Amino acid sequence: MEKKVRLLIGKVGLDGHDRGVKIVARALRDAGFEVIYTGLHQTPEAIVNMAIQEGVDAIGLSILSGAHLELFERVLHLLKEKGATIPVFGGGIIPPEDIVALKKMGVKEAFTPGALTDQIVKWIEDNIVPQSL
Amino acid sequence: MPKVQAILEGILKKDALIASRLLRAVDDQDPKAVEILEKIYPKRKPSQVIGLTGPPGVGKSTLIDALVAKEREGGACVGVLAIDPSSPFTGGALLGDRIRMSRHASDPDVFIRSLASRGRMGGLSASLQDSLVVMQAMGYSPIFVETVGTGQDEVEVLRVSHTTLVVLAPGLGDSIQSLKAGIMEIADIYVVNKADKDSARTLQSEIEDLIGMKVYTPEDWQPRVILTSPAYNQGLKELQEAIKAHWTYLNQAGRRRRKEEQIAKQLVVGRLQDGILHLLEAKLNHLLGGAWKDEILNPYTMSNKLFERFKQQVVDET
Ligand SMILES: Nc1nc2c(ncn2[C@@H]2O[C@H](COP(=O)(O)OP(=O)(O)O)[C@@H](O)[C@H]2O)c(=O)[nH]1
Ligand SMILES: [Mg+2]
Repeated sequence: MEKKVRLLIGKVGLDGHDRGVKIVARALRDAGFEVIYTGLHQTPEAIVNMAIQEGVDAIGLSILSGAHLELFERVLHLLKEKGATIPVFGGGIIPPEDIVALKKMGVKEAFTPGALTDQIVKWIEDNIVPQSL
Repeated sequence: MPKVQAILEGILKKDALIASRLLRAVDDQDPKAVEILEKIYPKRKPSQVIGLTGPPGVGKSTLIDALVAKEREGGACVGVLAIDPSSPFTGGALLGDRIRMSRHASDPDVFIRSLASRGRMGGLSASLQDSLVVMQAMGYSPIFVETVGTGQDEVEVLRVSHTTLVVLAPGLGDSIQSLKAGIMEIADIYVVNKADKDSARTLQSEIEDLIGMKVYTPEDWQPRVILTSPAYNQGLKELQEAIKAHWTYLNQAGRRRRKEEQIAKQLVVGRLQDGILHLLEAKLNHLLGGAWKDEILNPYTMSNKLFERFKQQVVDET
């Protein structure tokens, strides 16, 4: 039996920059994770639906549009509504006070653009466990 | 862990949370999943499994996206399994086929699952077959399977499909040559995608020439070549009709039953091989553990000797 950490990495909201999130997605693949990359402009509804269908162990969202608080809140709300207990982490240009707010809301971790991909990999290794039946 | 009965009911009710957890267990080759697979196997819908293969970038995911949209117009609940290779070095995988299928992301009647090929013992087709069983039990019909047509594993996968589409596109080097040998023989339908590009017709006639060299009896399915361009909504209806025509063909003269028997037999063999290999691995390690301590190593003498010993201990006894 071979267990692998599976992650959904995507972008919600309207901004069109995906360079950063693609770099992260590749780094996570190179660290040995299975990464489902959703592409740009996803709605919270789509993210939650995809995460459930794909049976991922965590959702990582990149948000650069400044609307992170509402979007994360919506994702967390929808997950709860559907009875899914998938941890959510994020990355983007997020001011420190918002990081506090996000964590209070239930977001497990938030990385700012300065974070090294190694840090993200390490955090996943330490905090995310592959789900089982 | 939810009870077996609860999982069973969840699957039949199309519960996405339960299904995805079961699919995950299937993917991880969790032995617990087999008990459930055994129970849901008889409950499958007779869904057509449509395999698409071809070099990277020809537009397989884009085509599936368009075909799914067509099926949704007719009210079908559609499944998609998209397979991408795992890195043989890190075991990681980047699964990006969903990017092209975004418009179906919020549609609960479209179930899309990305699979990493991993280095599976029983072969990829066995584990793919398990995932198909789950989707068929959930009632998804048809089910599209996407694989890159460049490796042995990927070609194997097509054996679980009812209908095989080989997708090519102009301007991707010599796409016919770049394909795994043998792949040109397995297609029920050839798709020349990116028909909006100039050289599409040239590619079409190349394929037609290739097909023309074969002799078909009236009993045989005559492969078709279809030009498509999802972006321009070209050829999609024709492709959908060809897929349906092949399904009709299979449903005549007991062909589908024979095909499915073949698939089931493969699954039996795959599962047996997997189980036996697991068993043997332990025995082998035991044998080898002692062997390395023996005299200086000539790999030929050593393997002969070990094989004899192994045969006596494992095979001849049983
Ligand atoms: N010009 C043109 N481009 C297409 C067509 N179909 C797909 N593409 C593009 O081809 C690229 C690869 O498509 P994708 O579906 O990911 O290919 P796959 O690797 O075979 O799954 C994408 O940029 C698509 O937008 C088409 O009919 N015409
Ligand atoms: Mg693809």
